[in-house]
Amino acid sequence: MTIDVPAVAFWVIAIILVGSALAVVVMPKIVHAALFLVAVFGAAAGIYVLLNAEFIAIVQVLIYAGAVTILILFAIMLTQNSMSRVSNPFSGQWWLAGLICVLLAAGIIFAVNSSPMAAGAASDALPLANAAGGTVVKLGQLLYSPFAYSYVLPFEIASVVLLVAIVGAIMIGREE
Amino acid sequence: MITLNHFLVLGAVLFVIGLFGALSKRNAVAILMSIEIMLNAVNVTLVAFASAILNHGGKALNGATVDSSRLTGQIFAVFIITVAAAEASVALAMIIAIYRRRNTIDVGEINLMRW
Amino acid sequence: MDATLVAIIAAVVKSAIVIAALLTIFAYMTLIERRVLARFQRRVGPNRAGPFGLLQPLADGMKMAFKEQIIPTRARRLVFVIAPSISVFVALAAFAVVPLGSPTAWGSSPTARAWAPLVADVNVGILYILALSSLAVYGIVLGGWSSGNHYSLLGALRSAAQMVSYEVSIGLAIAGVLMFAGTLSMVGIVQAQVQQGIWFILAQPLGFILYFIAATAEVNRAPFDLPEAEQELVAGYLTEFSGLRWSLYQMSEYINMITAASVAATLFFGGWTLGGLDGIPGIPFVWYTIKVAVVLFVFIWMRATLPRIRYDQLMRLGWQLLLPLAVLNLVVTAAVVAFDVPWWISTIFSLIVLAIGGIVYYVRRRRVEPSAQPSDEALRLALPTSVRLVRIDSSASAATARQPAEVSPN
Repeated sequence: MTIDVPAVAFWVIAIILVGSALAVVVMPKIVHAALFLVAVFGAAAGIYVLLNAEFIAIVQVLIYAGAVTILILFAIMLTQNSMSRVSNPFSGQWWLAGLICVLLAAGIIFAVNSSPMAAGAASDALPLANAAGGTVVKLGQLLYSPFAYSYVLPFEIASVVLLVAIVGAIMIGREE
Repeated sequence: MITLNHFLVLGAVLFVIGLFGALSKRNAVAILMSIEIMLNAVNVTLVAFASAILNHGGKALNGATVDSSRLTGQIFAVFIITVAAAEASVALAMIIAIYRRRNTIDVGEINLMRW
Repeated sequence: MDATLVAIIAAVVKSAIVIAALLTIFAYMTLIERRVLARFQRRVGPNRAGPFGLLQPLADGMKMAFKEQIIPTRARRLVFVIAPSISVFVALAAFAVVPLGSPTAWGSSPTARAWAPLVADVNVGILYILALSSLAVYGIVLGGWSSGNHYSLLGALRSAAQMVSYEVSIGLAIAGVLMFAGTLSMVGIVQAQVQQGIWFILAQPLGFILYFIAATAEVNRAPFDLPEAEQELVAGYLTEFSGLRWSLYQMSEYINMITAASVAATLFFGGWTLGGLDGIPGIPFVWYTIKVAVVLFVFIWMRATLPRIRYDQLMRLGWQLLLPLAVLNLVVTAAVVAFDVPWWISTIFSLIVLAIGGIVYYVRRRRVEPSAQPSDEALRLALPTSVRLVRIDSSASAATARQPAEVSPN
């Protein structure tokens, strides 16, 4: 009997991912929710590694866990006015939200399992955590290559978006 | 055996959890965190599609024979991460600005424009 | 035996060796640092426990282990207990991709490669180190926040801002090397240096200096050790930590320092290689150790020489000097690589920039010198009354006012 290591890894990571995402939503203290958000990002990075997208995985950790969550923690620490017991409350309509979400989940999962495209792709297993080679070089060429088909222009626009976001954040956050 | 469907269902579940948080929380930072979860769910789906399409091409992952346009899903993921970072910085700046004026970040109490 | 099984066993064994080695090196780094610092200050340093003080780390460890571990009443308990472990975990994990020798040292069969002298040859190795070092800030932020103490929180927030700022400079400073190497793998970078016949510090002197400064700030070493600035923040995020939890933070700081030195040795000094001698078994590891040791010594040297800089100076240095220079270096390197001109063009550019920097520094220093003595007005502004020991009398002449004549009673 052989253990399918990638499959086991998938299930473990998936359970951690869904569990910590639930924890982000239900934790009564906002700081604990933010810490579980780090776990969500880490587990998602694990999923990307399984899918041979190691560059996305590293960028995920670098940007989401290393920068975005730090920003969120900053905001939490700057906006905590009272030591209230519940800093992350639900609103009154949480049951309605829950109902909508369950319906949406049912709809998506139904579509995934019964659409023709899904049926075709479902039959063959994905090559999880393929050690044979990375996709970094391909990704780099696809992003930057000046000669072949590439995403240079969208990439530059993305950098403009970032610049605008920096200026906007400074303008909004500045004390008058 | 793990197939594409496993990842799609995982992405759907994550997305729905994030949506539930975004719809039902009162703390603005918590809503932002839920939106980040939703973006991650989309990324999982996109990267899974990229992997499946690579696999479906019937070519080896390691060789140069792979058509590079098959990695489009990963490219989209890169762009989503970029935009998510921009979104987080602006949103947090807004939350802090609101907190400074109104001393709360409870979205139920930020209702000046409601009536 | 199954190749996968061998790989897993090899990974576990190698990780255990690396962790044990890093913890031992940490213990002796503290001793070496204290001895070297003592020499800089014309003291002797700890030399009582064992020959040359070699048992001192052991004694320190025993002392730390038996100290009471206080948890303040206002602390958030769970986070307070976990935070130091996060720091150490991240620091140890970052070392996994550092190559200590050629990956084909014991042959090139899959089984032999599984026992290569590095824990994992990841093809995004350098990004992996950057990602994990960006996680290091969690240990500090959470530790400072969970202490429930304003000094701790201030130290933690300072450190978060500092580390996030300098990460940008680190990334841009090493991008030049990555362009020359054409790979993100640590092993690949070393092999590229062998292939091109140069150490990348020759092509990237400016990149190296920028990396070194930014890395010093990233690992919170003097002169950038603001998070734990003892004189102004008690001890920053470390204030409420005692016993083993405190030493865990020390441990992570030293391991981060070793990792930063290893990255410098790998990226800029050719890693385990030196002039074709690395075919002999054992020699690569010796070269690697020597290179890392030299960089570590420079870290200690800087701590002994330079005074801690102010927080606004730190931010200005990072954003207004290191970042533009790194971008400039990046652009020039990109041009050199893209147009396929010889590597020494970028060296000349680096040297010109460094020379201009030196001249600017020298000129500005000379111009400032005549008024180096702060005026009374400046002193009054700089020091709040509660801190000032010397009462400054503006009516008296400047000469008498500057003498520490009277010490105010409060």
